[in-house]
Amino acid sequence: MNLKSIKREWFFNTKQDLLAGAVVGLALIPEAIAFSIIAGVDPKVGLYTSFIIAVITAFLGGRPASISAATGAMALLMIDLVKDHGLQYLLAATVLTGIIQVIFGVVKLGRQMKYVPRAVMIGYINALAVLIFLAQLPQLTDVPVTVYIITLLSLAIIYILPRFTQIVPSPLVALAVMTIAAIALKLDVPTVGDMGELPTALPTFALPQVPFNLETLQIIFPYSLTMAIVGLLASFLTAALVDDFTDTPSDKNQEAKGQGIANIVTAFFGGMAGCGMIGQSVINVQSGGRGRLSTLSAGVFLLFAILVLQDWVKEMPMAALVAVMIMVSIGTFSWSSFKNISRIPRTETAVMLTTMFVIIFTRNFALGVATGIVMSTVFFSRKIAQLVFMDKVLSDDGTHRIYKVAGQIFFLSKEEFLRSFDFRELVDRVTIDLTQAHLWDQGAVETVDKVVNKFRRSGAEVEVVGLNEASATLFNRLADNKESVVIDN
Amino acid sequence: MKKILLCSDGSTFAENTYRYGAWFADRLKTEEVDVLCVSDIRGQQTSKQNLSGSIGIDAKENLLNRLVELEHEKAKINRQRTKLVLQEAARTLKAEGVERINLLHEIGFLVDCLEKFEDSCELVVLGKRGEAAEFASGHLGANLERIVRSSHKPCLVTSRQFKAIERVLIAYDGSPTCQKILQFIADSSIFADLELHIVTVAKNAAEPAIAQIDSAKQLVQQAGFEPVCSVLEGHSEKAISNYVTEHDISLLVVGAYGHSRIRHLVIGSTAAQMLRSSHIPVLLFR
Repeated sequence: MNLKSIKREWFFNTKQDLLAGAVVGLALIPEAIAFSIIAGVDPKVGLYTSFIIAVITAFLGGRPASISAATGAMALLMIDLVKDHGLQYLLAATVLTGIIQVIFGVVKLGRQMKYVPRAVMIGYINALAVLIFLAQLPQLTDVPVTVYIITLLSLAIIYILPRFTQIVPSPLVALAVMTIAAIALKLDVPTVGDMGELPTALPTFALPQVPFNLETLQIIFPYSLTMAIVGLLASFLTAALVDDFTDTPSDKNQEAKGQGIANIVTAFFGGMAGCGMIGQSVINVQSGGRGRLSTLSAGVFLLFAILVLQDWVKEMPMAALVAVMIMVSIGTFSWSSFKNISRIPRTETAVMLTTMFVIIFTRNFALGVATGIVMSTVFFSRKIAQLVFMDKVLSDDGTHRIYKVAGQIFFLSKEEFLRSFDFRELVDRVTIDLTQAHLWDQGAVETVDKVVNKFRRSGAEVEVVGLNEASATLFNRLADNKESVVIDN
Repeated sequence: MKKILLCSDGSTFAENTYRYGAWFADRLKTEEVDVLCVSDIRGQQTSKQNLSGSIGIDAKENLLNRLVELEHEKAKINRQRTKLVLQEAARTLKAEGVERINLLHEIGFLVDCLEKFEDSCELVVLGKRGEAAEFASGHLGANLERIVRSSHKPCLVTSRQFKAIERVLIAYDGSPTCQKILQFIADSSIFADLELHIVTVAKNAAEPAIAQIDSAKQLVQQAGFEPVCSVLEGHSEKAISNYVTEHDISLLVVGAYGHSRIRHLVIGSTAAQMLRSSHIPVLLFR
C-alpha cells in the first residue's frame, strides 16, 4: 500500500470521520454490554471484542466506514456453548470461526453471496431485529414499575431529542440522564454492574484455556462454522449497504479475511466472535463517517470512554440500556418489507417470512438462511419451467409437421414439454426446432429422445434442428437418437 | 497522432492554462487538444451532519434516499458547472487558433483519469493550483505533485499570469533526464527562434560543472541554437530563481524528481521547490 492510497482511504474526511467515530464508539458501549448479556458472558468480554474488532477491521476490512464489533447475531449463536462449556470454549470457538472466515476469504467466497436472494436477506434482518427485541424481555419481566418508567422515558428521549438537536447523540443523553437520575434518587433497579465484570484495564493476551484435542474440536466446530457463515453474511450485508450509501465499491474477499483476522485476534484478548453491524454502520454514515478512520476512532473512543467512565457505566440502569436496544431493533427491522407486502411477489414474501420465522423459532440463522435459499431456488425453477412455449406449424400438403419450441427444458419442465406434442397425428415428417430452447440436463435429453422414438414408431421421419452449442454437446453425449439431429452452423 | 492534454477545473489558473496550452499546441504542431475536467467524487459528499446517533423506522431506506437526493443536486450543479468550464475552454482555445478540440468530462480522481488519457498525448498541461486552493500562494495544488510524480509524459505547470514565451531557461545537471530534455529540444522545433539559456548550479564553479555545460552547449548548438550558458554557484533553488528574475526568463525547463522516492518523501526535490517558488510556467521532464 502506498502513500497515495493510505491518504485516500484514511485522511480524506478526517474531521467528520473522527466525529462520527466518536458517536459510534459511544453508541457501541450499550450494545456491547447488552450483547454480552445475551451471550451470557461478562460485559467486559463484549466491550473488549468491540474495541479489538473495530480497530482491526479498520485496517484490514474490505469496506471502509462499515462498523464491525460484538453483535447480536453472533451472541445469539453462542448462548448454548457458553451455558454448557463456559467462556474458554467460546474463545476457542472464536479462533476457529476466524480461521474459517479467513479460508472463506482466501477461496473467494465473497462472490458466492449472490446465491443468497434478497428476500432471504430481508428475512434474516427482520429475524435479527425480533431476536434482539426478544432478548430484552427478560429485563422487563418481574421487575419493579420504576424499570418500565425508566425504559419509556429513555425511549422518549431517544426519539424526541433528535427533533430539537442533532448535535448530541440522543441514546447517550438518555443513558446519562437515567444514570444520574438513578443515582440521585437512589432508585433500586438492576444496573449494568449487577450483570458482571466491567473492564478496568486494557485487554491482555492469553491463549484459550481448553484441551487441544479432537473432543474440543467436535464441541466447537459446529458453533464455529455457523458463526463464520452468519458473521460473513452480516458483514457482507453491511458492506453492501455502505456501498449503496457511499456509492463506492468494496472488496468482499478482503472483508472476509479482515473479519476472520479480527475474530482470531479478539479471541486471544478474551473477546467473543463479532461481525459487521448494520445499525451502527447506518449511524456511522448518518453521522458523516466515510473512511477507515471512522471505524478506527469508533473502537478507540469506545475503549477510552469505558476506561474513563467505568464507575458511571456500572451504575447505568439496565432499563435505559434496554431502551437503546429497542431502538436498535426498531432501526434494524425492515418495515418496508411489510408495508409493501401487497406489491412484493407472493413467493418472495413467503420466502422472507419463512426465513424469518425459522430463525426466530430455532434461533439458528444458518438453518433459516438455508431454508430460504432452498425455497427461493424451488420457486425460481418453477417459474422458469412455466416459460416453455410451443408453436406448431403444418406444411401446406399436410405431410410435414414442424414444432418450434422456446424455453428452458430441464427436469421441471420436461413433462410439460412432452405433453405438448401430438403423437397420434399422421404425418410423414416431423421437425423439432429447438432454436429458441435450451436443454439443461439428462432429463431434457431423455425427453427429446422419447419424443423422437414415439414419432418414429408412428412411422414419421424425425429431425431435431437448431440446437445451440451447449445443448448439442449434451445431446451428443447422452442421446440415443443422435442421427436425427441436424446441427446447422 | 500528436495531442496535448489540458487539465482544467475552472480556477483562476485555468484561462492561462488554455493560452499556454494553445502556444504549445502551435509549437509542437499537434493536431488535437484534449481538455479534461475531472469532478472529484469526494467533493460531492454531503456536508450536513446528523450526530444524533439514533435510528428510527426504516432508517436504512431513509438515509439512502436522503443521501441520493443531496448528491443528486450537487452532482447536477457540478455537471452544469463543468459544462460551462469546458465551453469556456473551447472558446479560449478557438480564439487562440486551436482547431480540433476534444472536451472530456470524467468522474473520479484526476490522478487515475490521467493514466487513461496521457498515453496518447505528447504533453500534459495543468495549473499550479486548483480551485480548492486559489489563494494559498506558495503552495502547490493538492493534485499537482501526485500528478507530476505519476505522469510519464512531460508536464507543463502554468502560473497565474500569462506572459508570451520569449526566453527559455534550462536547468541542467547532467542527469539522463536532462540529456533527454536537450535531445527533445534539439529534435523538435518547439523553441526555435527563442532565446535559450542553460545553467548548471554547482557548489563551486569547478572543472566538472564547466565540462558538463560545455557538452550541453555543443549539443544544442548542433541544432542551430545559440544558447547563453553559465555556471551558477550556491543553493540551486535560490540561484535559479535569481537567474529567472535577472534575465526575465519566461519558461523554466527542469528534470523532475531525479532523486529516490524515499528522499523526496522527506525533503522534497529541487523540482518541487522550484515549482513552488517560481512565478513562471515550468516544464517538467521525466
